[in-house]
Amino acid sequence: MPGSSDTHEAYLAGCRRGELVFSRCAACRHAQLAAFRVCVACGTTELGTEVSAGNGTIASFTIVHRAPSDFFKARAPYALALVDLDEGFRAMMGVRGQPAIGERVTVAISGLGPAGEPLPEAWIEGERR
Amino acid sequence: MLNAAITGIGDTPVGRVPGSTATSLNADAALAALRDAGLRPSDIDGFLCAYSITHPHLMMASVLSELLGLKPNFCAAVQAGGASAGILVMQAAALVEAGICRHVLIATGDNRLTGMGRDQAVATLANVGHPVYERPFGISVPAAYALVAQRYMHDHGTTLEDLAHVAVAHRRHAARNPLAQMRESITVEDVMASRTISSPLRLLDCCLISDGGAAIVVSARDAARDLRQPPVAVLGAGQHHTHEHIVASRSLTKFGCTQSAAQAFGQAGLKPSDIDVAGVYDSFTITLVVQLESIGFFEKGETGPAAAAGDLDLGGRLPCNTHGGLLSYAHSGASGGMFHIIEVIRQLRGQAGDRQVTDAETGFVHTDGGILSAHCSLVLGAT
Repeated sequence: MPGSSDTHEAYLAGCRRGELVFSRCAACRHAQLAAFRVCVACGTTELGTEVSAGNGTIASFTIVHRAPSDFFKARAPYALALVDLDEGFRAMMGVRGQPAIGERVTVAISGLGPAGEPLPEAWIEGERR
Repeated sequence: MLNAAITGIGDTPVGRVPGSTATSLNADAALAALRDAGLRPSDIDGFLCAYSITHPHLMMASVLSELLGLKPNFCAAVQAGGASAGILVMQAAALVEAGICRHVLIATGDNRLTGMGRDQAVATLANVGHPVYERPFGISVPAAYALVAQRYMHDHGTTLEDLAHVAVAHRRHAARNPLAQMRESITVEDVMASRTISSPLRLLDCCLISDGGAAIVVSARDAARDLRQPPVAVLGAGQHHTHEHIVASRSLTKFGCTQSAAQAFGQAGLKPSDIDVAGVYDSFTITLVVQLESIGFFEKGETGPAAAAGDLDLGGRLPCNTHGGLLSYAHSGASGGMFHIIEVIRQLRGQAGDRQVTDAETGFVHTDGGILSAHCSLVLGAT
């Protein structure tokens, strides 16, 4: 029986393997977060998954003081950032170290979410693992 | 110019409204709008509403329509967050334009303050974050707007003081409005010293959480003539939608308000400099700055200094959010944007009392939902 699923599973499975997975359009080579069912640049559905090398730049960030749930209240204040990966897609993630716009980061699947799920984190250069 | 006019407005008390429910606020506002227009429930052949986060229902429009004793030929709910109010008016205008309806009643309302409290409201609203790509990192609505603020300030030179001046300008307006939730005067120093919610945004950069309801009647122009109030013409309307989640937005500084406003102004045959009074969505101080500068009311980086110089005040270059806005009047969900529309209509009718903009003939409203995701602009005119 044909099923239905979103592209998120490839990203989540990648996180479980320790890899940051993204989508690339087979037609136009546009790179994007695995959050879409079509290529947002050209509209085709020929999306493949690739693994990011994990190098990027901070596009923006915030330090959250007023957290939305008990899990995050226990961690506040915490940083989150939008990171532009060198492959050409943008992802949100937590930050290790002091973020700044334009700062180069290395992404590793070193974070843990509220359900204990592995998550990407942006490591500022010089921040000790 | 569309064949649609706003013929009735109604709103409830805002802030903490004890005993209110989302349904009661919708109904009270709807009945007030009917009274204002001089219409009875039997005159209404179209009904539109938004949504409630305190009392969600699968068929909100049918529930309210039943409660109000309506038998409409068109009945539906719109869920577009903060953009709902503008979209509802545009939808109603399209219904009368198409000849499907003569009088469309639009109701909105939610009791977010007494119905769920601030903590639960913050948590519920944080669920608009993407479940896979945002929420696991602790996103909230203020955090998402903070990501925009950080980048916009970096690129366009807007400062923390600029944002503070925007908050102060709204409180000055609210001080003239006896119905506003927050009227106590604030200074730039107060905003700067208020606690950080999500950097760079501080408590006084953020909108209120309120109970409140607001309703409007949109009528065909020929059906508007014999009603109680001077009709306000819907001269132009526009929408543009680019994303829902901030992680999926192609830009952190350019948003769909530019296109929605251009569409509305184009339809009206007017431009930003023609506008006498504006109501522009101000969920956060940065929201207003981005939108005023993207729509063309101010140059990039100019809004803060303009607010400091009194340009958003009565008698200023663009009297804006003269009721006090979401920052100081009230924010109760879809009613938040409706309050902007109702205030601009009061101004265009000459019924704004102590906060009346002299000779206001053209008005502009912009509503924004999500994280600058869903945009609807309206150009309104006195008749």
